[in-house]
Amino acid sequence: MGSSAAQADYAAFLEKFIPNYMGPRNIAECALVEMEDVRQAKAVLSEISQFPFMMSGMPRPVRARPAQVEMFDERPIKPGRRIQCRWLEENDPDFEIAREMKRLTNKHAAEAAFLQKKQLQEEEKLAKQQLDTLKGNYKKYEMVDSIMADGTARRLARHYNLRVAED
Amino acid sequence: MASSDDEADVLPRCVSNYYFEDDEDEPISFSVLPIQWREGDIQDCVKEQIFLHGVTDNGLRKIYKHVVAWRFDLSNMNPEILVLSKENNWIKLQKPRKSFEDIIRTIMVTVRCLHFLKKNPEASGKSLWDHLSKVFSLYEVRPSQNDLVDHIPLISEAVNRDDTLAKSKFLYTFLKEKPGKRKLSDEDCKKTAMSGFIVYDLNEEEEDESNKVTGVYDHVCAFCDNGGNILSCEGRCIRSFHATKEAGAESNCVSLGFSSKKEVDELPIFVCKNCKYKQHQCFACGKLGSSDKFSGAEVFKCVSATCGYFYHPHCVAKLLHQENKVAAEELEKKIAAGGSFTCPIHKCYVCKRGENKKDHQLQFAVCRRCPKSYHRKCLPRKISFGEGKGIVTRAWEDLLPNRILIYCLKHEIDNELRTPVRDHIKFPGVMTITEKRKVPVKEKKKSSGYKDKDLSKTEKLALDDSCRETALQVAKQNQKSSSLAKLGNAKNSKKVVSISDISRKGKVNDSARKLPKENANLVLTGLDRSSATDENKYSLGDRLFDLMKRSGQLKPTKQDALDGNINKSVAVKPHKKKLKSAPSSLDANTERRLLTLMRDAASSITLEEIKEKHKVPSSHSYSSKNNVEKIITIGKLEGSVEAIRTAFGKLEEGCSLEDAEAVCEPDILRQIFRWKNMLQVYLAPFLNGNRYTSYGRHFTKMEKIEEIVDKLHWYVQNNDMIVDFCCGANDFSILMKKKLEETGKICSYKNYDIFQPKNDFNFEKRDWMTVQPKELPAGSRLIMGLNPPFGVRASLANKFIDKALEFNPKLLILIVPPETQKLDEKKRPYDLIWEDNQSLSGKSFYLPGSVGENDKQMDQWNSITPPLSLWSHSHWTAKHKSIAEKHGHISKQKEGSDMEKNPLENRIHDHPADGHDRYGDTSVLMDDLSLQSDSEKFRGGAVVSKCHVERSPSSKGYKENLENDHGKNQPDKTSTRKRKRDKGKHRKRMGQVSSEKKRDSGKLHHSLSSVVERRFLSESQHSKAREMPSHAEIGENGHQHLEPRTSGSRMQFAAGYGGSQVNIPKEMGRKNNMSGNEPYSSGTDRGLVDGSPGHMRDSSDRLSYRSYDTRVEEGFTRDTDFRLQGHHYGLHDPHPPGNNYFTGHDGPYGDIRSMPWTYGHPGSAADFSYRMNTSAMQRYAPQLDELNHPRPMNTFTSELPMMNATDFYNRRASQPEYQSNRMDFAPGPRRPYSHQSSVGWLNE
Repeated sequence: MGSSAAQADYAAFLEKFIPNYMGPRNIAECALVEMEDVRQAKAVLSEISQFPFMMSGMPRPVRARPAQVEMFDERPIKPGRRIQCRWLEENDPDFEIAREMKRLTNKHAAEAAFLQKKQLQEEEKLAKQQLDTLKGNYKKYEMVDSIMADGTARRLARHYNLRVAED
Repeated sequence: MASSDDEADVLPRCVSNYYFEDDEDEPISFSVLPIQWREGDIQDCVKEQIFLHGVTDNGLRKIYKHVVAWRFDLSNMNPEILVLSKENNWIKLQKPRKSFEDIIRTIMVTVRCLHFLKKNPEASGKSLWDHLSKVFSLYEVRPSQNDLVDHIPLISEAVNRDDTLAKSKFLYTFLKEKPGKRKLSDEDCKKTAMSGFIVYDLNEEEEDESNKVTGVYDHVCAFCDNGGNILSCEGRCIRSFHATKEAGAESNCVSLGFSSKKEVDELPIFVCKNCKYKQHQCFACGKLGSSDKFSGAEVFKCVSATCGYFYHPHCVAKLLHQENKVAAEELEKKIAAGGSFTCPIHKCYVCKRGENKKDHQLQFAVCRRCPKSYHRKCLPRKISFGEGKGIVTRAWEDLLPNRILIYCLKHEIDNELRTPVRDHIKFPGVMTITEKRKVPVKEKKKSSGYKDKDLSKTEKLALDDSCRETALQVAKQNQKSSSLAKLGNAKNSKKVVSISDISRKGKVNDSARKLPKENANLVLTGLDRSSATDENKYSLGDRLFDLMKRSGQLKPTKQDALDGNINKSVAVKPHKKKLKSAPSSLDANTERRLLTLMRDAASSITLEEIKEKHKVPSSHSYSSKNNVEKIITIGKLEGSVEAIRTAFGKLEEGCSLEDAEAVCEPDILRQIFRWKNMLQVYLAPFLNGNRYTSYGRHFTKMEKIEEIVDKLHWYVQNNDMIVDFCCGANDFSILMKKKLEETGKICSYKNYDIFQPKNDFNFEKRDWMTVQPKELPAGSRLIMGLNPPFGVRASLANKFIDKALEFNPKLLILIVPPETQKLDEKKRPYDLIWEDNQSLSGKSFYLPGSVGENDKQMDQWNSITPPLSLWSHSHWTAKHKSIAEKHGHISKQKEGSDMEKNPLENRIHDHPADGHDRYGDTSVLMDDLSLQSDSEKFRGGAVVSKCHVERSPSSKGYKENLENDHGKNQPDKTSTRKRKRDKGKHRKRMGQVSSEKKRDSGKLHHSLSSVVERRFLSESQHSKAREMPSHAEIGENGHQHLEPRTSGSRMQFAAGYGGSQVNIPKEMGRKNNMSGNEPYSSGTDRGLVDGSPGHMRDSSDRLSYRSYDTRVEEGFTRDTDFRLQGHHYGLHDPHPPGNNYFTGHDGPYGDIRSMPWTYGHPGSAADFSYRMNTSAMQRYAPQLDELNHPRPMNTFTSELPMMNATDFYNRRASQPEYQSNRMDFAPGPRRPYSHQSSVGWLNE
């Protein structure tokens, strides 16, 4: 169940996941979520873009955008458009063009893969940094808590005649 | 006035405690009236009718006048304002009603201003405002130009008509520039008001804290010893540095050498090189040494919490024991072995005594270059603050908190720097460089150190490296630094470096940039997945995906390995698809290009933009991030914790307090507690994870809201607007609407929240803090609630309430934590109508969107129950109070805790039986009271009456039902209905029905003066009336008994009641009833009965019932209950009244003693069954335990003898109530009665 306030409050229907064609399975994916009506959908969009999507006290990188036809691979063919396949001989005038297209496609694939890798690295770095910060702060908390827990602070406060607010 | 006393209609001359209302009862300023400049010169342009309310004749007489004009008179000491009544009589306004002051504030300011300017036409604006703010010092808002702006026409008219005013420069300029000013001043005012408001509520505490925090540690740059914008090291050295040249410009600081502030801001944490490599300088000898406690430390840190200096054991031991070599050696060994020490800084160099920051003379002057401190009083003369001839300033105040910063005489002050030469800091990693540059540096130093620039450059470079290194993620590294820093992953850095070079130099960029443009789309798609799916899906995406799938199928186990997989898929490609030219890897050029693109894209996103986009609601706007991350550094914390431990250890060992304080000042300790709180707040989402799923919101459960609605709807009038300023799931308004429509009221609704709820009934997604008063109707129509966010120590709740108060709503219903500032403590106090601190106990809230282990909505268990309270604007307090009393909302608070547990109306409605319990309670209370003085009895009476009140709703409901039933002879119906109620969820409706009926009946019965009383009376009357006949039937015994008592009149009864307090009363009640009926009938009661005679006659049969019923209201609910019970429980059949009476009566008479018990019992028994049936059981459980347990025992026993006692029980139960009714009537006489009868009982 989605847990951002917005989503929790809506009767949201998780329709399906949309595969991410950019890479292997364990990268971010999209999901189609259906709302009851347009108004709710808009509310969710704005809600999610405005506030972090929280799960268990952790903001998660979630974005929402309205669904478009192009997002779905099973969409009907555009009327009037037909894809034709045929075998090209080497002496076909289109042969070179096709090859170029193929080359380009591969190049794009490689580039995309490269970017994907970098992106993941970035993400990991960021996650690590955030984790470190959190750990650091939690360490601080534990440290403070340690002297609170064993009563040292409180007893010292008594020695000093300090009035310390009980928590 | 005396002369006019005999006139029929005295014309008041002055009025105080006044306010004006328009024909819709909205308070309105008199300034809308036409002003009369001269006698008889009135423009007739009043659109609305305006009425003056107030008191005159020294508060003796209330007046209510239609007024048509006003004027002011500036000629006296104080300006006078008069209004013209319709009778053509001028009335002078004296003191306005408090709540009205705000409405007429601007006009008052204006008149005052004119008055002042008339007296002092030359006065400047400043003196005017000073004067005015003195005059209006009691107001919240300081008078300002703004107030005048509203009345510009008036002012200009006044200026035209008055020559002295025309001379005033201030007015002249004011009128001249009004248009521009107006806007400006408006905005200004809003801004200041807003910010002030926020600061007050949100940051007060925190600011306080950060101030104190800075009060313990010094915040001056370690290089130049100047303050300003500095960066604290996270490590143990607890030093701070100027991070950039600009920050340290004032003192010409070498700084850490960061290039921009932005760069600094992006550092997650800053750790200086010393702390990073655990190489610190000995503060005595200046040499670097390892400070790593776990591997051969050479230098050790002073244990004092605020001291970040390290020493060689040898150095510090020598300093501490200058004369005693043996002691020094011992200490040295001890320190080397890890023993703690405080360095010489913490003792005065002269007198060897400690520091006392609170005593001015005992404050320390601390040398920044060597471990030497002096008391202020011991400070050598030569170290001087001021600069004179030939004197060098060596001391500065205000740089260190409660300390003086000095350079002791050992250090030569550099004329240009005005500090000693700044060569005192050595960073370990920089060693090589500094050494390399040492020669030039030294040269420069010799040349009197002015060439600071060069020096700083060298040092800067060195520092640069170090800091850069700490900020690994900062990609912009120049080659030098990266190579020097020996960054770990050579590959990456190389690439990064090469690219960064390009970008840095900018010239090379062109080539790089041209390429990207062609492929920008592609790269962007790489960054943005979804758009990628749009554009490239077919060509690239599909294929890749297929490949992925296949490779996945081939080697499914590998699918998880991220990078590996990519490579593989790429590698697999050529084989599978036989693509000859597929580049399995990109050439360096392409990669570089892509990286550039990535960086460009990344740099196009700035933190500011993101922040701008994610506007945080005001309730979340405060973040303690900076405090936590920048102020609470690990180093400080470690130091503090260690110091606290050491100090405590020392004290345990018997050291003096002074020693301990040298290690750990009390402030440090205080700060630790504060820090803990800060950390707790800051880390709250992680410490208590799930609760924060929906931004820490909690919603009130539907059932609870229903209860609240049931209680609140009485106060709502047609046309009101219900505003829920934090509506959460938006249940409140919807329920309210349902309820109000059922009761025939039409209201409007407005709901605000920062998140859109699913149900957006009249919802506006809006931060409550941004709603302006103009947007909502006048306060007299506003009812606001309900459950604001609480915040830390109710800070948010306070904020929300303060905001709500800006609208002057007539009612505020609140669920806020107990520590919230009470509304009667506000500047414009509200009156508490009632407060209920039980109904929301336990699991009254849930956490939206949070799912527990079993996928169920998570409940929130309150450890501290937030009370539900209703506050009324002082204007309408009386009205609301009377409503509250009418519906029994008030009683709870005043009675004991038991009463408090009693419940909202619903419960009352639902459970007639409650009456019993309460009754029991009240009676118990009564005991105490009754025996005491009259006044107390009176109170007791009051209590009882209240009880009644509480019951009354229910009882009435019942009654009415009963009555209806009677009328229709359909007792079963009611009973069935009630059953339903009992069964639970439907209760409320039932309750409503009954309550409606109640009203009707109430109307019928109302004949007495006070509403509250009326009810009681009427009820009692009913009961009495009805009882009367029954009594007659009852017969001789009853009469006999009654007579003696009856002679006493009800008073006695009442007394009996008062006296009857305990269980006894019940018997008494019985008797009373018996007897009481007669007396009543006899006529003493008639007055009371007035309303009811009709009823009485109505049906003798019913009467019996009714008596019960009436009771119900008082006691008689019992009957009803009776029946109800009978019906419901099946225990009792509705018996013909006669039987009941007889039995009932007999019972009492015969078993007087048993009666009381029975009473208690019946009630309890009934209650039990009742409760059993109802879901409410639990709620009542505590009550049951307390009250009923003793009784049930008795009851059962007693019941048996009683026989068909069910009826009896009922009656008896009702009786007590009955009695209580009487109580109301005649509080005084109880004693005797109570004594007589009760004593006996009591003894038993």
